[in-house]
Amino acid sequence: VGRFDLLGVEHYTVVIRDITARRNAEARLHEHQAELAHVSRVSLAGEMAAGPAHELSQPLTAVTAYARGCLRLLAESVSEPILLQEGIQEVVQQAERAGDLLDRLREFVRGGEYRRAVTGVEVLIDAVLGLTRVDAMQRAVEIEKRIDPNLPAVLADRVQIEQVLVNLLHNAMDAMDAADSPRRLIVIAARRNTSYAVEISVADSGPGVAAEVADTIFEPFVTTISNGMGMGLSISRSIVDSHGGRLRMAHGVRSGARFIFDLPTAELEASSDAR
Amino acid sequence: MPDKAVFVVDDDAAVRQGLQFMLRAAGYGVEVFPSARSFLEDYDPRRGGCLLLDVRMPQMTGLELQQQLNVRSWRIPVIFITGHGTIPLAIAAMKAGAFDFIEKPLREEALLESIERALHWK
Repeated sequence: VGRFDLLGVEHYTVVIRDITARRNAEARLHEHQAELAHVSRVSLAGEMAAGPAHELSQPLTAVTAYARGCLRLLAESVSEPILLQEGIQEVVQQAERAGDLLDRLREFVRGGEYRRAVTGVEVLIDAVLGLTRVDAMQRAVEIEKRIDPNLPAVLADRVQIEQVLVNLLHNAMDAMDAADSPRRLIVIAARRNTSYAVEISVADSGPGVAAEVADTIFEPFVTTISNGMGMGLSISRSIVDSHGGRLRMAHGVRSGARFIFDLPTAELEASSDAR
Repeated sequence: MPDKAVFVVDDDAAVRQGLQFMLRAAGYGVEVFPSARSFLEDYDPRRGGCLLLDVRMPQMTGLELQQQLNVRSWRIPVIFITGHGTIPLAIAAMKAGAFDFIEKPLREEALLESIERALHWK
């Protein structure tokens, strides 16, 4: 509202702008982004399902074998309770192993709101290495962890950041597989970047990313892997963006690729809250 | 004198020991190995028996072990077990002379039936 005098008469100018449309558009955009994030999480889970499916078949095979063995012992009235006990104990243990795997998968696929919490970087990385361990072993990939001691805790949505890291590790393994790299090494590193950020990086000894596609790899549906959807890096970048960092690419081990992103330290958030 | 032993090579300890438990309960002599290499080092081809072999393992895969057996002319029947029962893999294994191909999670009847046939194979 503006006010001015003109020839002794008070005049007012009032500007009224209808922003309903803009508000609605923004709301729709947010909704769309949330949907997209969920859809991509599900499709990413689909891409990854081959790994967990194999991981699950291991404990299930063990459960079946032990249970069958126990049944047979019972049918033949073998009077060795110790043996039966051992078998049933293993059934329980392996069923629990399968349950844990399912829990982790469910947590991964679950939509839900964005939940940030104070998290230790090493805990986060160890969880991801646990998820990818079998896959790495089967592809004869060595994963080296280089984490600076005394790293501050970060503020992050653990599930989302795990998703980013799993994606980066799978990309690295796929790239080395596709190129049939003789030396298959991934270095996952974390160090303090600035006083308010921790830098996490995943470097591989694969062929690297060709210069002509380097500019487009973060765009949706761009993939150099034949069976991929090309959503991984694009989703990963938006997740890192929402944490206030940036996912970027550099050179890895020898000719390989390296992906880097930052996470805010928990201290930063605490000090800005206090202000 | 060839025995009726079943040799199991699988890198997953739970699977390997589970199979050992089940097959022992079914009355077989069972020996387990955590890797293809350890089997090649310890197995005496005069013993006969049959081999339950996981396809996907780190370092030397099941298919590579099968090639080694062929190179050494060790005529032990190989039953492949795999969670990735892909057709190309099965074809490659059968072409290289695999006795049978069974998918995880295993069906006991199918496995025991295959082992019986393998042990009587000449």
